[in-house]
Amino acid sequence: MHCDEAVLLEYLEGTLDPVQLERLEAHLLSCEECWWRVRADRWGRDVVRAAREIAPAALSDRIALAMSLERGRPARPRRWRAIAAAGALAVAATGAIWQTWSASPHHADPALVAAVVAVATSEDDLPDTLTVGADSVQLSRLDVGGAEVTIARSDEPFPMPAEADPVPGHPDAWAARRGSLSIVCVTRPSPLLVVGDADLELLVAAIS
Amino acid sequence: MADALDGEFTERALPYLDAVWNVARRMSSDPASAEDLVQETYLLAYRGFPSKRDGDMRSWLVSICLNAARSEHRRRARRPIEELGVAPDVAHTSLRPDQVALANLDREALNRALDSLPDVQRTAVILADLAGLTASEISRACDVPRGTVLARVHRGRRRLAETLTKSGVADAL
Repeated sequence: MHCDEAVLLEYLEGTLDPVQLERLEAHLLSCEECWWRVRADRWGRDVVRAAREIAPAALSDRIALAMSLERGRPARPRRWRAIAAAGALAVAATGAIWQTWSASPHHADPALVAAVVAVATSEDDLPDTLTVGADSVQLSRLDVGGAEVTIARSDEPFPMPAEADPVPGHPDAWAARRGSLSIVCVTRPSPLLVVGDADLELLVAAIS
Repeated sequence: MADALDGEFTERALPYLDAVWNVARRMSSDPASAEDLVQETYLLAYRGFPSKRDGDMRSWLVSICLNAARSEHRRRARRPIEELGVAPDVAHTSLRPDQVALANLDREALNRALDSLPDVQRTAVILADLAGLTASEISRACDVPRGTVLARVHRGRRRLAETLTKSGVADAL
């Protein structure tokens, strides 16, 4: 058998039939050039394969949350967790530095935000709608990496608390902490307030 | 009905998260950008899934990722030059600090060798050996004849082997 690059390439891909395979392997025993090409290919392949990474543990949760926000329906992250690799939830880094606040209720929050926070932390069943004065929001819950978050949807932008931080790179988005609670608010494509005991960076990354 | 579609997308798309991550990681300047790229990839796939339910999910996801990465590169090229810090290439591992340093050194050498490949060979090697696609899948993802894919993968791997051997990072073949 003479050197045949097309056959050699199929050999390296593992797609030769048994007859072709036997012929090529016999050829490799006597052809230094082809044998070297096989060695170099396998070595290069193995070096790159050794550099394979596993996706960060929190990434699937971030995607699930982003999909849920996209569609306006609670996702099913339990299924994602069942399929994705097990492991501790890692913090999805955003490069931002956030301030922390005390654990006590923050009395300066706008009434609507305070009401959503109160509902989010309540043991009672979540109502479908919350009305505060002239404002009415739709509520839903979502499980993100084992932590439950409450999502409030409104037709009007949510008022921003005085001590909230703008989200870098995202006009009309802000974030805040109330003790262990994370609060993230976006205005586009539609006003959303997300409240829960989930990692703030994860929630911010999901809305980014 | 919509929930069933969501569930189907989840079942079919999530198993390829590692493959998409490896592609995104190599197409991005740092891990945070890679995460953004993966999220964007899955959102684009989610939006397009109703019309793409049949077919090779892995090739499709990778194709979306590659196109999204190229769009981002073109977008950044139009921006004023920014001061960019070099993000540490932290592997998701529990190695000791001295082991991390060695792993990062080898990783840097591999990154340099990969970056030195012609674009088409680099992409082919990334898709074949980091994302685990077959030649047929790469052919579909990149809209390139399968025979061309095989040649690019092989030449890319050979070139990597030669580069890393010449640089002294690896023993001679």
